[in-house]
Amino acid sequence: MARRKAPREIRVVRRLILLSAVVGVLTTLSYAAGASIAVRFLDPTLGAWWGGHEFQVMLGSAAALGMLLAIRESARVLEQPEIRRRAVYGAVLAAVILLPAVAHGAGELARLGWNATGGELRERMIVLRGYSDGLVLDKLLIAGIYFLKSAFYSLLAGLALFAISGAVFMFTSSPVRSAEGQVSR
Amino acid sequence: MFSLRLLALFIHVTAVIVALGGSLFSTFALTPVLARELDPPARIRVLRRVIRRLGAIVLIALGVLVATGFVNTMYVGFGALLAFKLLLVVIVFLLAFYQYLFLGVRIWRGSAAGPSPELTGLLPRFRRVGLTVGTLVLVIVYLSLGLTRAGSLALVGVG
Repeated sequence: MARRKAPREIRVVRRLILLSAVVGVLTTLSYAAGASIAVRFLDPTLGAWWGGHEFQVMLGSAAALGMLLAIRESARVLEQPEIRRRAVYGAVLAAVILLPAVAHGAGELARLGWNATGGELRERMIVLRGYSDGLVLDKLLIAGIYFLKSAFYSLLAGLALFAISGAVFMFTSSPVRSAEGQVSR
Repeated sequence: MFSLRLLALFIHVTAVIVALGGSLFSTFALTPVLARELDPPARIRVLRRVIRRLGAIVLIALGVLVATGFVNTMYVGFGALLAFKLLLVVIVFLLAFYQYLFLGVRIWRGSAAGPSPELTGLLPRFRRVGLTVGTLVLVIVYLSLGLTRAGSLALVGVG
């Protein structure tokens, strides 16, 4: 059976999710492994820039990933194409505008609670993989948990944006004509 | 007396009152009275407008809840209770989307020309989903009280 093609707005969101996931994974790996030092050897200016910005890029991609996942999952609930298109594009636009604020807020919240830091975990990884690999794995775990927590808080923000976008639609969508010819809102 | 925390908490509680109060009023007061007092065409005309307006109000209130909830979380910290609460929040959002943006829109569009057979199944489903959302919101409110009050009660030696 042929698979039904997803609507255009969902395909756009899927591509953006893929992009933010790839950027997120790469920057998390780079941040955890201290890859900016390697870049400095190749191009000192670029390496310095990357070293100063990789954390923000990681946080921004986590926020984008969380919000976009929320928007895509929320759009699944909607049936009417016109409503879905408006709600999705409205929420994506709001997500783009609010990305710096959401990334900052989610990043602050992600620092609360368990963050994978602790001597016991580090020691276990050092025992398993040796000293240098163990330290890198420990940093990777800490950065990975931080990334996932930031993405989860951003997912909540994405749900909120979709809710507001849906609400705006409910008030502004085109009127429906009744059988008597009256415009009914 | 006046702080960002208090302001955020005030708006948070107000948004819960608006979202929950509106849904409960519509389910337990407005709908039964409309069913008794109005004939089906007039009842549907009123109901579809109420659903549309209430849907927008509830969805905006949910959005405000998340924004102010972020500020509150900075003060209460993170734990298993908050993680459970946030999972319930995600479920409530998806159910509210289903209630207003799927069922609500269907009712709103399907009843533009007056009562239709489709509505007989949709209205009870809309009510059931609304009651589920209301119950979950009450659980969330209880968990929130546990998060914000448990610490202060322990400090003064109560509980």
